[in-house]
Amino acid sequence: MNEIPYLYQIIRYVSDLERMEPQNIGVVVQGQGQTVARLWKYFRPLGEKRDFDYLNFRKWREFFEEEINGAQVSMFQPSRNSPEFLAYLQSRCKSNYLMTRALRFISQVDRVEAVCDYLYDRLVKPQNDNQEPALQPVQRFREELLVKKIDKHPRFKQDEYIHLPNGDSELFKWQYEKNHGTNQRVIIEPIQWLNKIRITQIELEHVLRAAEKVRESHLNAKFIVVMDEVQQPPRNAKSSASQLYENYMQGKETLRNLTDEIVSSADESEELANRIEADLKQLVA
Amino acid sequence: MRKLPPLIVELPSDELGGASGARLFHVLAVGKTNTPKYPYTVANEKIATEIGRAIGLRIPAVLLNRLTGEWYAFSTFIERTDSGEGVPEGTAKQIQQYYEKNSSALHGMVCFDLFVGNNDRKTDNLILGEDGVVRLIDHANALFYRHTDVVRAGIERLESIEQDLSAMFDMKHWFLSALTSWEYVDEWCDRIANLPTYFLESIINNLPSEVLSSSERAAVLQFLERRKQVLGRVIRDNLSIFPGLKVVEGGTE
Repeated sequence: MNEIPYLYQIIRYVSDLERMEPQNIGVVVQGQGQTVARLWKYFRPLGEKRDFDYLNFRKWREFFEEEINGAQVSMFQPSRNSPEFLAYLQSRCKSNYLMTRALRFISQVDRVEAVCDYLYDRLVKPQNDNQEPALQPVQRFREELLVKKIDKHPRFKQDEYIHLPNGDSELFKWQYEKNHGTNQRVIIEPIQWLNKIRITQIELEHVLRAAEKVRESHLNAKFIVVMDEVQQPPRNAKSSASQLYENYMQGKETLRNLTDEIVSSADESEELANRIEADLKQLVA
Repeated sequence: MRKLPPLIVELPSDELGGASGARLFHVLAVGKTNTPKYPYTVANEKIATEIGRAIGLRIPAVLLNRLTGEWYAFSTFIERTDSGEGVPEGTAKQIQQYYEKNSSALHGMVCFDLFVGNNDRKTDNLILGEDGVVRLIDHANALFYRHTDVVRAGIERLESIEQDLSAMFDMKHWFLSALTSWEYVDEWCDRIANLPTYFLESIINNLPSEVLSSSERAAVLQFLERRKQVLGRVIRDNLSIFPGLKVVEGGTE
């Protein structure tokens, strides 16, 4: 087989410019008439970086995606397939987000995407982390609670009962008090997709009942539901499964009216965890 | 929360006096100094920036300061997030979209570069700010230029580009084909022609004595004085360099 030349660059994040200890977060590969890139989709800096600016990371990720995968902008960008394009990308990176110069890589593999995946696994993917963050909102929310150590916070309660003003009581998955001034409670309930609509429907019904109880009791609480995306049954599925799915979708609409917020994407889960973290910090202060 | 040194720190000193209450600050800046290969960086940056700003282009101010005996040209235009991190300075598409809406500014950039002999113009030297405005940076390659295999930096470079515009382009200027409107070209050439002599003298005379010799000061002033009057004609005489400018019957209008 032929040996095929490629050029590659590593995208790096520098958390502290004074220490200048870059962490590899992505790779750009050029060869076979193409330029492709792969970045961490859900980047987390090494070590304890509770104040990591995730929104800025997303801006940079969008920047690379537009520059590399967007339409070629002829007067303002060198040809995508030229080495000048790699130098151009490097020159556009400053401050905390940097790129190495173009480096050579020789391979017998003739697909640039395969080379990109190889270099990503070899140079970028964290050695002790084989899993990228979950894509479903509930699992992502659980992960965020662990990463941010919210689950260890003494004011953040898990699987505890709340005594409601009307004398009733109810078990909730997660809860905390938002601040001392209003004592508003924040309740978070998950509806996790468990591969079967029947089981997920049971979860939904439980959360619906809990939401109704909270509303009827006039508890001063914000009720948030973190809800996974549910797979629609295939066309040839049993009619009972299709009916359960219809019920589920109707229940979801009812829930929307009973709750203050429905979190239905992994990104929203992350934002929710950020908000909780900020609320809990205020409590400590 | 803040991971980086802040842009500006007020020092815990007493007020320095005066009714406006002056105090001391540490300010974060991007800095450049002269090197053997780039012996005119400080002068080129300062003179070109002052001229560009005077004719109405958006160029961050350049401040000169001395550190351990060397003069530096500093720019304090650094955009960051609240957490102190650097943000992307605009994609090629965003910058293109800005100039589609601001075609006059694109013409101004090219006319200015032709005036000060700056060939290092590519998207790398354009910054889209958070305010949606594109600013021009990096004019170290203007005027006296730098040493290369084919060019000798200094007065010699001024002379060579005055004799032949194409001598400027030992390095590719990306936006020469962006000149498409004679109306805008004339507007910017007029602005340049109207730069007062005293203003150009002032920029040059205010440079620190170590940055340029007296003969270099005189040479750059004469170069700019002559060039400001003839820039429009120079462009018309070199239309092959500007494929977007069309010749019409009876002239170039």
